[in-house]
Amino acid sequence: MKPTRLRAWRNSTTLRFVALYLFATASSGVIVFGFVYRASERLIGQEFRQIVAADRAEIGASFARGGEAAAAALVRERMLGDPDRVYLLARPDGTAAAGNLGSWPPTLGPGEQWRIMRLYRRDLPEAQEIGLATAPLPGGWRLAAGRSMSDVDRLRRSLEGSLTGALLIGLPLGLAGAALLVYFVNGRVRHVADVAAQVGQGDFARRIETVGTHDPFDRLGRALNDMFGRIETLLRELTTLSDSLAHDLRSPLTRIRARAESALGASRTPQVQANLQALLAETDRMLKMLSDTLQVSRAEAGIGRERFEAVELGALIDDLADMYGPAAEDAGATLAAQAPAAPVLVMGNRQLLAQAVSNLIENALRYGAEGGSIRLSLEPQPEGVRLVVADRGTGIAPEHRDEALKRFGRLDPARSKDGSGLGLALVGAVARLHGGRVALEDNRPGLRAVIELPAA
Amino acid sequence: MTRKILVVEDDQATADFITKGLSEAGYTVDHAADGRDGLFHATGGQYSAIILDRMLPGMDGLSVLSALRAGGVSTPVLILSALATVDERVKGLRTGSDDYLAKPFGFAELLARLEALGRRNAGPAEAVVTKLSCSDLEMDLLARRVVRAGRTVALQPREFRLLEYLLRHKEQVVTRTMLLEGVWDYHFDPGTNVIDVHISRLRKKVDEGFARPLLHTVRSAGYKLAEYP
Repeated sequence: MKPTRLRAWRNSTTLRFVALYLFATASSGVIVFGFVYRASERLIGQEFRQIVAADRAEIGASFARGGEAAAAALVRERMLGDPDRVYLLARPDGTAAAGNLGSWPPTLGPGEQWRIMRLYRRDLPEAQEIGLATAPLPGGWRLAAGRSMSDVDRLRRSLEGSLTGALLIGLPLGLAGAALLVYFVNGRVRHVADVAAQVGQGDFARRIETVGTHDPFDRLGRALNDMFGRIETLLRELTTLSDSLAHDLRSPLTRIRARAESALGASRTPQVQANLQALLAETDRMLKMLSDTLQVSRAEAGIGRERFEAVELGALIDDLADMYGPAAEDAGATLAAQAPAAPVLVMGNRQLLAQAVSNLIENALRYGAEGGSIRLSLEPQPEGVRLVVADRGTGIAPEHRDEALKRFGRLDPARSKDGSGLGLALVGAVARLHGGRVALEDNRPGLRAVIELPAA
Repeated sequence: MTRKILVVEDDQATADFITKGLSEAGYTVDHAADGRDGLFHATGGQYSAIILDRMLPGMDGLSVLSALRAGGVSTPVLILSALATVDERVKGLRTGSDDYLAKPFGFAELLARLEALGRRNAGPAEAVVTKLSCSDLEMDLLARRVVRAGRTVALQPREFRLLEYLLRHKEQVVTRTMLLEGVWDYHFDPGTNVIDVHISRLRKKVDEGFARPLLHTVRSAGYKLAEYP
C-alpha cells in the first residue's frame, strides 16, 4: 500500500518534469525557427527591393532615352532571364504596353517604393505575392517593376518542414533525455532517502555513496554522511557513557548491598534486621530503575538489533500468559492468550519483546485487574502484526495516553504501586527498535495496549 | 573435588565480600585483581569455577573468557558484571560463560549459582537421565509422570518443567532468577513475583497432604527441593 502510493507520487513528479522538459524543448525550437524566419525574410526582402529599385531606374532611364519601344524591349529582355521578375509598362489608360501583368492595378499608386500585393500574372494561372516599386514616366505612362515573393514562400515552407522534422526527431530524443535525467536524479535521491531511512531506523554505520565530484548531489551526500558520522560518534559516546555510568553507580551499590547483607547476617536484633531488609529492598528498587533506564536508552539507540532472529509471537504470548497466569489469578483476573493457528513470525529480539509484553501485562495486572479479564492477542495486518494486551479496568483517558508513553511519565502519583515508571517507555523503545510503535486504545471499558510490529 | 574458586574482580570491597562469603561456605578462594593476572591464574590452577568481572583493567572479562575457551580450559565461568541489560547478558552467555549474574547481587544468589555450576561440572558425563527423584517423590521423564509415595501427582506442563528443574538441582538453593532463566529462558526481571506464585501452586500439589514437605523456601535467596530443609 505505502510503496505503491510512494511510487505514484514519484511517477507524477516524473511526469510533470518530463512534460515541462518537452514544453521547454518544443517552444525553444519554435522560437528559434521564428527568429530565423524573420531574419531571412527581412534579408530576402532587402535584396529584392534593391533589385527592383535598380530595374525601375534602368527601365525608366531607357524610356526617357528611347521611348516606349526601347523600354518595352528592355522589359522583354529582363523577363526572359528570370521568371520571378514582374514588369508592367502601362499606357496612360492603364493597359499594358509590355510586361507580364495584365493591367495597372487600381490601388497601386504611381510612385511606390515597395509594396507587396497579390496579383495575377499573364504568364501564370495563379495569383502570387509580388513585391513592387512603381514610377511615373513622361506622357502619363507608368512603370511597375517587381519580383515574385515565391522565394520567401519557399523559404517559409522549407523552414516549416525543417521545424516539423526537428520536432519529430527532437521530441522523442528530448523525451528519452528527460526520462534518463529523471531516472538518474530519482536514483540518487532514492539512494539518499534509503540510506537516511536505514540510519533513522538505527543502522548507524550506513553511508551514502559519493563519487567525489562537487555536484550538489555529492555535496548533499557528504553533508549527510558527516551528519550520520556525528550521530554515530555521539551514540557510541552515549553507550560508553551509559555503560560506565552503570558501572560507576553499580559498584557503590554493590558495596552498599554487600555490606547490608553482611550486617544482616551478623545481626541478631529484629529491628536492625528489619531496617537492613528495607535497605536491601530499596537498593534493589534503585537498581531496577537504573537497569530500566539503561535498557530504554540502549533500545532507543538501536542496540539489540544485532541479535535479531525469527520470533514466533504466538508462542511468545502463550508463554507469557502461562507465566503470568497464576499471578493474574491471585490478583483476581483471568489471563488468556489467543494466538492464531498459523505461526506469526517477526524479526526481533525475543528477550526484549518478551520484556515489553511482560511490562504491558504487569501494567494490566496493576491497573486493570479489577476488570476481571486480561487478554493477549495477535491481529495480523497487511504490513505486519498488532500484539494486543487488553484489560477491562478503568483505562487511561485519551488526553493522558501520550503522557503515559513518555519516560518517567507515570500517570497518577496516587496510583504509584511500585514500578520504576519506565514500563511503557521501555515498551515504546522496544517497539521502535523493531521498526514498530506502541498505541494505547480504548477497550470500552479498559485499555488496549498495542505493539505494532512490521512483518518479518 | 577441589572446592576452589578463582575470583577475578578489580573492586577490592566486592572481592572481599565474595571471598569472605565463599570461605564461610567452605570454598578456597584465589583472587586476581586484573584481567591478565586472572587469565594467568585460570590457565594454571585447578578451579571448580571462576567468577569473572567484565570491566577489568588490562584485559576485559570477555577477552579473558575467549582466551580461556580458545586455550581449551573448560572450567565453568560465572560472569559477574555491572553490564546488566538483557543484551549484555546474552552476549556474555554466547561468549562461553556458563552463567551471568548482574551487579549488585545478593550473595545467596551468587552462591546458589556457583553450587549449580559445580554440580553441573561434577555430574556423570551426560548419561541420559530418564528418572529423577527426591525422597519419596519420583519423576518419570519419558512417561511425563510424577508420583509421590505411590500417589500420582497431576501437573500442568509448566509445573512439570518447574519441578524437573528443581529435581535436577535438588539439595541446592535455586533462586527466582535461576528459575526464570532455566524454565522460561527469560533473562529480564519481572516486577511481580510471578515465580513465587508458580512455586506456591506447585507446592500445593507436591507437598499438601504429606507429612514431610520437600519444597522449602530459603529466606532472601529462593527455594530448595530437599528431604531436609
